[in-house]
Amino acid sequence: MVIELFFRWGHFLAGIMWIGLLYYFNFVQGAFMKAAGPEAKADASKYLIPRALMFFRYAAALTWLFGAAILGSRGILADAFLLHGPAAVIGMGAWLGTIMLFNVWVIIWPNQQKVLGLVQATPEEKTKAARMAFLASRTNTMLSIPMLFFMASSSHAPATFFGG
Amino acid sequence: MVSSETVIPLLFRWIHFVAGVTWIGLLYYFNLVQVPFMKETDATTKSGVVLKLLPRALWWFRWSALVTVLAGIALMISGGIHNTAIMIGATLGFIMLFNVWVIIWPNQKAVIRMTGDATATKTPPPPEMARHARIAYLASRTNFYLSFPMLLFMGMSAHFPQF
Repeated sequence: MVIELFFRWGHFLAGIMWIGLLYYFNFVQGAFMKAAGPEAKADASKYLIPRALMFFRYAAALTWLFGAAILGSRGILADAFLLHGPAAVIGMGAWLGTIMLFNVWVIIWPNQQKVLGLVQATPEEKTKAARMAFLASRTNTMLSIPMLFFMASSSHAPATFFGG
Repeated sequence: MVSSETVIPLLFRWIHFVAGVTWIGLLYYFNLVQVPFMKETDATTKSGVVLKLLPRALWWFRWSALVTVLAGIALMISGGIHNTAIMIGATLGFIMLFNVWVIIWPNQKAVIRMTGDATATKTPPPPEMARHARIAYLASRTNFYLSFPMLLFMGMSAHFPQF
């Protein structure tokens, strides 16, 4: 079905933006924030990080929706999440992606809002929020590696490969 | 059944995905996040970004670009993948890799060096720095636009090879 190709294209574009920005946060921005002077740090917190987080969290939501649309158009959405039969392979990827999406919207974003001052917080709350956001972001970085493995194997390696 | 015919292409595809996400993800970061940020911030922060953020981002960017293409070639060979869609997608990918290593990186390197010299000597950067920045920007924008059809053909190759 041609519609599935468009869902897949959207899934690629949004997914690359999401996980690419995750890698940017973990491998580039963290080191920059340690090395930067106070003025550059303040500017980054005010302009750069909010814009990056805007693309990050909406790309995450779109990635999940496009992924669910692909599975839905194939009629295997339920089988995937229930880890039934051959759909169990993409199901593993889908579950990892779902956990990561949860981390983005329920842990990283609310805590980052406190860190960036978009939501009122005391200095102690800010320190705790920064730590929480950092740990969730690191967790997602780790999870992204097996997640991409299942994404890569789902539609290519035959199900028998996994003994299914 | 686990066999080298299934495992080897899968490993290359996995590497291709991880490196490709890093490469094009950073391309999107440059185009959608960093370029607008550089417009709204002041000269001190700008040179801080050029000297402390950009070199690290460009390191991941250019090496992940190379790994993406090499893993892609290995995937095509080991998986016996040859169809119209992947030929178009791969051609676009090659053009993008060329832009990264032959246009973006040498010009960005000049921008980083000139910014470093200007900061160290507390003098304004030489006028040709703007030209280097402009060329790198145009090549980066070109890759940004090429990534959309490139990814469409990448998605087509495995699932709609003979469109």
